[in-house]
Amino acid sequence: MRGRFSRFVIGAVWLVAVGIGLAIMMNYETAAGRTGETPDVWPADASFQFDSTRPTLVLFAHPKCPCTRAGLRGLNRLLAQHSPRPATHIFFLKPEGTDEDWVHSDLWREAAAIPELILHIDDAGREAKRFGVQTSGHVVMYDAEGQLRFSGGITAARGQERDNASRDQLRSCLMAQEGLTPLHTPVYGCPLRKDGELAAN
Amino acid sequence: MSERNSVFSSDPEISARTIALFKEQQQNITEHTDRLFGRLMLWQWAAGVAAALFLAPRTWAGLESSIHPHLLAAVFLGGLVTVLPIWLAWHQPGRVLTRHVIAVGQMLMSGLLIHLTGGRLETHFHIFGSLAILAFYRDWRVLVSASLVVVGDHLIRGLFWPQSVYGVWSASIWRSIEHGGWVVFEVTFLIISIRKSLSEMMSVAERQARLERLNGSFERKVAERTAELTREIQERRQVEQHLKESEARLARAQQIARLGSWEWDVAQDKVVWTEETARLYGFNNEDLGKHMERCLERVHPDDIAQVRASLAAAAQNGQPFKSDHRVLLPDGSERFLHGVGEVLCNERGGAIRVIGTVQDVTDARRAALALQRSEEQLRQSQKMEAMGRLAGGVAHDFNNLLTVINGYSGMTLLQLEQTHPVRKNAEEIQKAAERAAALTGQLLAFSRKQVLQPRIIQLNQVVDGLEKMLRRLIGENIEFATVFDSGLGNVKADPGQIEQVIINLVVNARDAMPQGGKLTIRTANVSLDQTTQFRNRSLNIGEYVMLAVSDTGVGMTAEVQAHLFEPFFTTKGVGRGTGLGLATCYGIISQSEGDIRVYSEPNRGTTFKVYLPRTDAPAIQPLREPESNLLPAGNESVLVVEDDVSVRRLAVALLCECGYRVQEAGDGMSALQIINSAPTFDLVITDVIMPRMSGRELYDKLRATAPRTRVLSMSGYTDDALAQHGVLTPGLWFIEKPFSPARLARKVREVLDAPAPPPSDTTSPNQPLLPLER
Repeated sequence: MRGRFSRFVIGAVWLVAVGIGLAIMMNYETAAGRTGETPDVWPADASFQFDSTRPTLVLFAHPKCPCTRAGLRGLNRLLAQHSPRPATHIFFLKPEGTDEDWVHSDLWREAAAIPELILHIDDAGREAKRFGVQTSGHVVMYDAEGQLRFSGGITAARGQERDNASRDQLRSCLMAQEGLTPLHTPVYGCPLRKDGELAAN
Repeated sequence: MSERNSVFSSDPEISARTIALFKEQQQNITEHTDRLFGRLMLWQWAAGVAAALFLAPRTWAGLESSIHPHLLAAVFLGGLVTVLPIWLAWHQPGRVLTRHVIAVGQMLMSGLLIHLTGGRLETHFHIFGSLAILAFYRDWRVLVSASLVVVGDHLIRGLFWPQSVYGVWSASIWRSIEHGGWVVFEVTFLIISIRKSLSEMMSVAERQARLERLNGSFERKVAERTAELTREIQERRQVEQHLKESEARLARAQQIARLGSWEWDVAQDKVVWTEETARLYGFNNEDLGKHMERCLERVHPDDIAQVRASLAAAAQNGQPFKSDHRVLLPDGSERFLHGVGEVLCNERGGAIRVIGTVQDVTDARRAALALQRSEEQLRQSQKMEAMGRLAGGVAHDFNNLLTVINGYSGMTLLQLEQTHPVRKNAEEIQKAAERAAALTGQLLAFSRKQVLQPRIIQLNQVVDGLEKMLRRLIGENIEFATVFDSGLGNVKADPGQIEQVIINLVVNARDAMPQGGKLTIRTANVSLDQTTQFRNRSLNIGEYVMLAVSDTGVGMTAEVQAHLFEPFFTTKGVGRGTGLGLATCYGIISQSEGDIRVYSEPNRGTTFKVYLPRTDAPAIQPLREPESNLLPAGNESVLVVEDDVSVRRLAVALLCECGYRVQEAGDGMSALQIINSAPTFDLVITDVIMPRMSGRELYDKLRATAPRTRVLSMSGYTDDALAQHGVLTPGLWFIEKPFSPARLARKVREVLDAPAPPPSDTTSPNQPLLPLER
């Protein structure tokens, strides 16, 4: 009887400990990253001009953020399913003091394999700053008029590739050409800068 | 389950054993599956850590990075999920709690892995795979526990973190129920499968239970049969041991009894022998082979025909086998065997095999032969004794008569002139008396009643001395040759007797060669290294001198040889032979401790071989005095004791004639009276065989009363009264009857001239014999 109770207690403690662990992990994964103020109109000082014939989609990525791989793959599946494809650009952060080799990570090479995609090096994160982006995996989408249509992440949680509501909303934005207010979704990924750096710039 | 029920109701023993086997099998499966999951979960943990390291090792913020929470979750949360199930799997396998904890842990690990792999749809199959593996337990309750974890996980996350499981920010509970429904869908079929599997397990257990009972029955039977066989083997070994002991006893008994057995397969000519049989025939058992002929190789050539005939009679006519035969052993010796056998016949009366024995009867045969020889010797001895008594009796009286005839004829011749007309008559009387004396001597010789006067002689010299006479005896148509061994040894024998033997043998050889031929006398040294038998006499091992007289005459048959040495046996016809010659030879040689043997074949000649013991003593040359017509004279006092008046008067007259002072007595008692009443006599001449007192007794009394008186005994033959084995002792002289006047006169003079005997009785049989003269 005593042994049985002991086993019960041990089992219960074990279950509780596992539950707590899982809860912590869930909380971490579902904790959204920071986002800035994304301009409603295509910024005039942007390093390139939006496409006036189709929507222009820009994804900002930290070259070494493992969570962004899920967003990149989600974007790939989205583009593959959508026609006509929007003009798509990806900016990889190149912090100050680093060279381009630091940028050319596995994530860069995976992105380069996606067809009809334009890769950019975001030197010192200036472009991200223009679009109010602070977290890797953040996607902004402007229509052919240069009006902001979508801003946020396209994953359900950090590093999760499964279909999710954010990506569905981006898809709907791409399909609905006009007349809608911009949609904002939480972004799950690594910060492009550590705390305070953004303020300094 | 209906099958189980039928099993349980039909045979309680089978049912109980089936359940036990089922539970045992279930327990084995559970423990095995526990350990399987133990290893699987450990591997999953490692795979989770590896996946985290590969997919998300670090998290970044600008240029700074740190360990990714996924990696920490893989290590610590994965470890937390894994450690308890693994510990239980290794330390408490087979227990209910263990498999439920494993089920829960495995489902939690599925959730963790799904997260660590980015929620990939493929990773969700881990849940379904895990459920299938959990079905290995064949315990539906485990699947329920696992299902509850899956459903609970979806419910809780759908409630609190819907985006982590459904990708939306809010989810309906039905979505969780839907997910759980798919799990229940699979689990339902798994449970069905489990029930079927359990049913099959029960069926297998039942078959195994029945098989065990069958095996048990078989094993019992095998054990019983094995025990029986063991017992039978032990009994057989005991029987074999007893048989071996019995065979050993039989072999030993055969060895002791010198009795071997054999069995002859007549048709195939195969023979089985015992070791003793082989030994009796002088073979090793292995060397004897399997055929009768092998055994017959050792049978004596003289007996082989008889053995073969007996075997043939047994094999062909079914007659019992019986054979007394000899075998020649490799060492040259002979063995006498007595074989008997019985014949086993088939239904047609044909001999199939002969079973027999063979026994060593050498000792018995030799004993019988020895007995036969002894009996023959006894008969011969009795015969000779009777002949001796007859001859002795006859010779005693004859010799007295011949002494008188010889003496008076001799005295007459001394007194007659050479031209006297009566002298020729007297000479004829003396010659007839001498021939009669020779005949009497032969009678005494073959009956061994002679008085031997042996000395050391060399036979070459004896033969050499006789050669001229022998040549005259055999005539000119017979070639005479002598072959002497130059190194011939000496013998101790009476030379006169030996001469008599040689003459007799030569005369016989001459008579065997009426048409002429060759006569050879050969001498040689002979060493006998074993006792040899011939007729009823044997020669012991030792050194001998052999004298052989060979002729090339008509030879003799075995029948003649068998009676050759018997007195009065002759082949020469009436008037040509007395039948005493060879008997005399035999008596002389036998009395001289030797032997005479004959080897003869009809028309091939005859050889007589005389064997006499060899001695190393030197030969003594006899002193022969020249013959003279004058009688030696003297004046000493002489007492003549003789019961025969004629002989006594002759002796007294002769001695008086020679000048001696002579008194006479008719017997020993009278002689003692004269001796006791008169001065000491220089010489007493006494007969040996006398009434009231023998010459020997008289001699003994004289030795006591007048030890220095010389004694000359007279006799025609010897017996125990005069000497032992015919040999005289010192102090006693002897003259053989019949004697001539000259011989008596010379003998008296010789005795009187010899040294007087010692004063006391110191005679010894070892003292040398005195030279005596007949």
